[in-house]
Amino acid sequence: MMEEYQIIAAVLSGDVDAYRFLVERYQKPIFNLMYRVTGSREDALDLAQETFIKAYEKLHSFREGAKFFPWLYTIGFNHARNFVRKRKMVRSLRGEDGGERESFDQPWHQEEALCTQLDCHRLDQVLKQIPLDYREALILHYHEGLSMEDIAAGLQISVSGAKMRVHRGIKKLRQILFEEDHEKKRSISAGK
Amino acid sequence: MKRKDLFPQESNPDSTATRGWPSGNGKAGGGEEEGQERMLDERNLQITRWIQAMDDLEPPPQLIGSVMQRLRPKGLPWWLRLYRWAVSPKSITFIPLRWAAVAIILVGIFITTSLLLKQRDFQNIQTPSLFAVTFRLELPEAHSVSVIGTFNAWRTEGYAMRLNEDQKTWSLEVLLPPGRYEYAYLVDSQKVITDPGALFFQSDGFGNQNSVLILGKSNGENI
Repeated sequence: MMEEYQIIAAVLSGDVDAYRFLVERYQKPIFNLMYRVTGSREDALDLAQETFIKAYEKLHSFREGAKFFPWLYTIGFNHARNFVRKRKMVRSLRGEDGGERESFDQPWHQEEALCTQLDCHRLDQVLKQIPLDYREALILHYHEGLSMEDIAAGLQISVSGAKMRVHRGIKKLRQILFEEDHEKKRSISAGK
Repeated sequence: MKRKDLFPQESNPDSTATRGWPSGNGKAGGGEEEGQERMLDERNLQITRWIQAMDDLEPPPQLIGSVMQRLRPKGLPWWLRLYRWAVSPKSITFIPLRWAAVAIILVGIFITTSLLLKQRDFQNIQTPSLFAVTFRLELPEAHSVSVIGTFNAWRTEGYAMRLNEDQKTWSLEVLLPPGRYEYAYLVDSQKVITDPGALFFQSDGFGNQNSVLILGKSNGENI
């Protein structure tokens, strides 16, 4: 199996086909990132394709010795954000609402989305209720297994910022999933 | 990574989670706090396991193909190629014939340049024309006469005049560039006299007069 730096060197020296290895290796996390952001398979496919093409075009600026995935993720994450911004702008010009897909821009706490018994399918829905930055930090750390340093590189923030997002993301999920606020309310009313 | 490290927010005073838990009348005992902390830890762990086990969507099979189809072999930007060329190590092969040719070219350039420079210097030397000026003084009774002036810093060395065959006239030929000169004759190393044949005279500031010689670019301007 070729190492990443060998693949990148081959691509940079003109071997376009070598890039296929990188697309194969990272298509799943990038496609899933786009799906989480857009909620649409069609949009996710387009955005994932564009991300890989952008990365190919910028490959000469990739710092030798760095990890490829956080670098690729940065390109994808920024691309996804731009997409969401444009979509919001178009909807706002048309006088439409934000839409249910952009749940990360909505208040994270929605009574109807609360659940006490959770499975992995429902977790998708709950994840949509926390801000995009927190959600992606959580997924990169716990699902993709990235270190805090790599998350910081991928999200273009400091390491302490990455830690903060992970911690706050967990806290918000816990509050939604376990109705901690409800418990608090109950506790307060019981105290009275 | 230890699980405790993952969730330091439990000790964070800003933590709404901590604030969100039942605290009774605010005087909860240590055992109750420990129980709450344990419960938070369990919940955190459960959430991380859920995220870990979350199902990923399979990307559509056409993703790779469509990406690869749109890629074109792209050369590196010129500045990057230049940089890489500059920093890459290079081997120098010694080929006598090639180096001989280079050496001949360099010697040729050197000789041509030297000749051109010499020619220019020669022209520079020739350009300022010198005037042959003959100083003459008729003074048969003198034993020696020298010409002194601004052109020789009023010094006699090398400027002694010779007595002509007629035994009356002293003369000396001097080459001078164009310019204005003051001069006088020193007779018998004692007496300074002006040139009776000069057209102009100028005071020396000490009550004496000097003769004035003006040499122009052409002979017609000489006075």
